[in-house]
Amino acid sequence: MLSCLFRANANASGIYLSTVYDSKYNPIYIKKSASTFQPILRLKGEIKGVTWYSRVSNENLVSSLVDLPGYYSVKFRFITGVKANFRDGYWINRDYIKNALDRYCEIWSSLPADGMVIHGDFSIDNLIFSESRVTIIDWEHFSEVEIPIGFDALNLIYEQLYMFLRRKELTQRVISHANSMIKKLYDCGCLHETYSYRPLQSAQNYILNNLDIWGAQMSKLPILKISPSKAKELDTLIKLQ
Amino acid sequence: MFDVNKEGILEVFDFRAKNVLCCSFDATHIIGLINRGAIIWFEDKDKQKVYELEAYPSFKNSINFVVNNRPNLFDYSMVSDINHGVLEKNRPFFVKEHIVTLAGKFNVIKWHLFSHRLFLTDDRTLYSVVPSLDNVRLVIPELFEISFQRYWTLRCPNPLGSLKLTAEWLFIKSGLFRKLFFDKLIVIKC
Repeated sequence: MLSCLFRANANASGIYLSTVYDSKYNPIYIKKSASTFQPILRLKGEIKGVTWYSRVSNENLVSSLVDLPGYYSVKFRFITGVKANFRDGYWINRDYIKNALDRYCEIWSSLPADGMVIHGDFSIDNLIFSESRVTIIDWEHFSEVEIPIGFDALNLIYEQLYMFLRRKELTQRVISHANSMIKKLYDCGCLHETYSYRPLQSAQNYILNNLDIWGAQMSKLPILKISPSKAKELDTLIKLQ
Repeated sequence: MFDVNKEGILEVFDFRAKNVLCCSFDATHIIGLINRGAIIWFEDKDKQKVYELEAYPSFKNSINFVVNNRPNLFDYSMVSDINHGVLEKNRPFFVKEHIVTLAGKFNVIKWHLFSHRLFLTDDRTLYSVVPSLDNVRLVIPELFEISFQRYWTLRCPNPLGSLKLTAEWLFIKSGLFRKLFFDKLIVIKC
């Protein structure tokens, strides 16, 4: 086996990211580790999310774990599949978005109403698409906070709308597609009524009211980069019809 | 004293419950090894150098000296000099793998010109240790091509930092430049 370190102290997070290859140089594990207090806590939080995900999806992401007093390391199984290009934005990624929301509904619709959890970074970049399923990765912002169901799904929709709007004007076909996605979420019981009429602004408010979940990463969330006026405009066009 | 970025090279290995003979005296690496569950050994002749380390009080209870109770074999040795005696064939103890850190352009060029001949190609694995704004960012094996674009960034709050990142990127993108100009991590199997 051969390892390759890809990010030491990524984004000053104190977390190391490496890939472990087999003798034929095929990736087999993604390893995340930390050797200082706060990053270890963060990794442990991620494992909490991964454990939850494994339980509800029957998909085991973790291969092995090392928990020492000054070091914590997790080897995730390397998931084979395709990733959408985050920067392509809404229209190009519409099929990926639909598959992602199907997966969201599969998992979250089975939760009891009082057992709500959020992934916290349900981005197209954190999904791996294969023929058999969509795998959700990077659970570092997992939280059992009381944010109503639908938050993560909306985060994905508006992240991709934000990426789309950086290059193009909103078109009717994008609006229709986004509306159909919101309707679909509602129909499968995965969109709380609180989001019905102002989905984007409501989701933004939930982030702003729960800053501790995202910490310094909050400024990077695309959904928060949508200005208040643009959010208002989007909410008049895209909502539960 | 302790540099989380410099410690990154240790991530390429699994040190848990492994006997590691330290022939270099980098406090970051020593503490990093201890954190990763390694059993650290120093040669008795190096005692004085270890005592003189500023960080010695913080790890004095976690290290051993090779006197009589040394293990029969060491899983790794940590070396920062390619001519260190521990790499010689006729040493009195057995080490499974030597981890050699080569820092500085002079040492890297010397390795390419002369020292590499001392070891069989099949016995050694070379990694380039690539910094980003002076931090270890990537440790890339030279055995095969790896796509690492997505792990690099050109963004930096300081425009001069962005320029530096761009220049560094141009250097690491080129396999030849990477091979010649960046610090090396060499793993030698025995």
